[in-house]
Amino acid sequence: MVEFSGMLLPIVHPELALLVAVGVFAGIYVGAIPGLSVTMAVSLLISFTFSWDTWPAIALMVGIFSGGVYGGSRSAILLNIPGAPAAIATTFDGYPLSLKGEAGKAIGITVVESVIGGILGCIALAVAAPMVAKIALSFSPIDYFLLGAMGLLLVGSLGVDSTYKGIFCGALGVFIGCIGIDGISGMQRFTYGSNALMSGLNYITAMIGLFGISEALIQLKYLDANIVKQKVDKIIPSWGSVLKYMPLTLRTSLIGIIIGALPGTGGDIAALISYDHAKRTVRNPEVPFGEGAVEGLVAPESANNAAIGGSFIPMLTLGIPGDAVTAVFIGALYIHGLKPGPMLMIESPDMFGLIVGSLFISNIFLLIFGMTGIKIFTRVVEVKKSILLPIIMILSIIGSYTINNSMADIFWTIGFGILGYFLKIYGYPIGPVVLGIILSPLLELNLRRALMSAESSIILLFRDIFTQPISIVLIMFIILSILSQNKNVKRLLNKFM
Amino acid sequence: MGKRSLIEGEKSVLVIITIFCIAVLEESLRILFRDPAITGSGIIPIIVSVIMLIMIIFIWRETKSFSPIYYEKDGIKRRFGRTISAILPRQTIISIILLILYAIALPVLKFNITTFLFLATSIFVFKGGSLIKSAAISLGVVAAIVVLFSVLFKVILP
Repeated sequence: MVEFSGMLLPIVHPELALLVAVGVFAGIYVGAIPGLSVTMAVSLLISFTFSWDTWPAIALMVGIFSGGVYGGSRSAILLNIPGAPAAIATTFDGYPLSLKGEAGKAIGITVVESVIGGILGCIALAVAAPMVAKIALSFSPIDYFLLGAMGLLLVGSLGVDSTYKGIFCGALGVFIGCIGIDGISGMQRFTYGSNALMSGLNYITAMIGLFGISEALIQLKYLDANIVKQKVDKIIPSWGSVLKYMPLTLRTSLIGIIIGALPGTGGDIAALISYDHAKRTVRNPEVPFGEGAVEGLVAPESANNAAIGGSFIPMLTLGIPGDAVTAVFIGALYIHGLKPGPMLMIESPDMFGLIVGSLFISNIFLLIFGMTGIKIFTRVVEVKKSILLPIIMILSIIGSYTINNSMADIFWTIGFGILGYFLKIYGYPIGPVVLGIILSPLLELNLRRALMSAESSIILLFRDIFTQPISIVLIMFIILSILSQNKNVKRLLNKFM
Repeated sequence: MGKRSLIEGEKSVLVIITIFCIAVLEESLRILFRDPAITGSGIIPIIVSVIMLIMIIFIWRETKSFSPIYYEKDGIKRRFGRTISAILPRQTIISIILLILYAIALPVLKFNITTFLFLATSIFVFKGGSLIKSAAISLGVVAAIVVLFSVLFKVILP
């Protein structure tokens, strides 16, 4: 049963709506500035809103998420630099449009498509999540383990240059999550007698370092990059053009919802897959793809915002993040005493309703703020990196300190920042590392529970896997994910798609 | 994925990662010996360390198809110097040093002074402005952070 009353919370409590608005506004600029990321912003917000009540903190973070995913498209269009990974595909046709003097048209289209996709994703969340939660109650420990493993495999293999590096990073994250005292047996693992390692590594500290500090260090290479001045006008698209592209919008929004709902994948992968879908299905675009095709903006922008709603589905119903930002959200819920999973919707239905309601309202504010403030935005984007990057580093350090008020966390953040820097230089993706750290306890607990249920017998465990319908589906998905990395299998799949 | 050239230092980093993976595997085996039950503390460490090692082997195989860097025939000293300047440009090294100094100085000089010094130095060194402009910007940012976080977010600053 969908919790409608919870969805009205942002309306009944106007201060929550105001926080969503603030979040959307801030998120647009955070997402728009290359070097800042939505994940970084939400990670910092968790520690900063630690002392707040849960509802205002969640409302603000939902706003930032929604605004930030869209915001990345602005710098993608104006500067050919995606402000967020979800906006990579937007550069393909957005920047060529701006070179033709049609940046305003591109921005208007991306706003409208993001809003449509976002609302559809929100509806999907409201409808699908209760159904998934019911199914999730029948998930056994091995199902949770397989789902977590599937999430790591997906994030490690989609959208990365090397699948092996992606899977390595996922495993590295799980290893980092093992450091400390084992929660079940009390045994110290990988601590080497160090007190600092005994309590384990806080994943928010790792996340701030890996996403925040490392990106700032990478961006230092581009201090001398020329600031491109832009002229922006004629933003609002006509009804005719919105309706003309509606069939594509609906299809790519559905792709975004499904991709977002898969554990470990998010708006960036949804946008890339949707762009590819548009290229395959739109036979005669007015302008060729890659040269300013409007369809090249419609597809990724509707998909990446639709993926937001999708990514909340596994996060709220299974406790498994749909992408990096929802992984951070899980941390936020834990800090406020809530446990995401199938019981969340039973024990705290208002939280589910609040997220849906906030997400819906965020799209209304996105429409308002997205069409305005473009000239202010161009000023912000023109702030020198030599000023912006040190500020980002300070904010990251403050964010990591506020989790436990511990100086050790500052050193860990810097250490993870340096690690993240080297990982990025050599093409090792960061996302799987963070996801691995977050999923490590879930993977370990459920695997050990599954083995205990199978009386410590591997044979009985495999029997359990291949006799339960959910486990069979998950294991087939995992096998398909692994096989699809093979060149011959990829060619076969491309023929069918 | 098309062929690409090796990135400077890529093979050296791979060697370091391989040694790391072997060390993790070794420690995982020790944990497994201490707690040999299949449901014990060693099961996940063993699985992830084996996966990491297998993936590293595949990554080594991948690098074999990459074009070598043209100056691979140079002596070790020259290659080391080129590698460091390519992957650790001046501003990155300065930034890392400043970050570490910042973290060390924080408990001594406290947040306001340390942050002001870090920001002013960074902005000036990265050519964000003159010394006075850098100091003025830093002062403004520190004030904004103190107001925003201490007053609005009620956060305890370092």
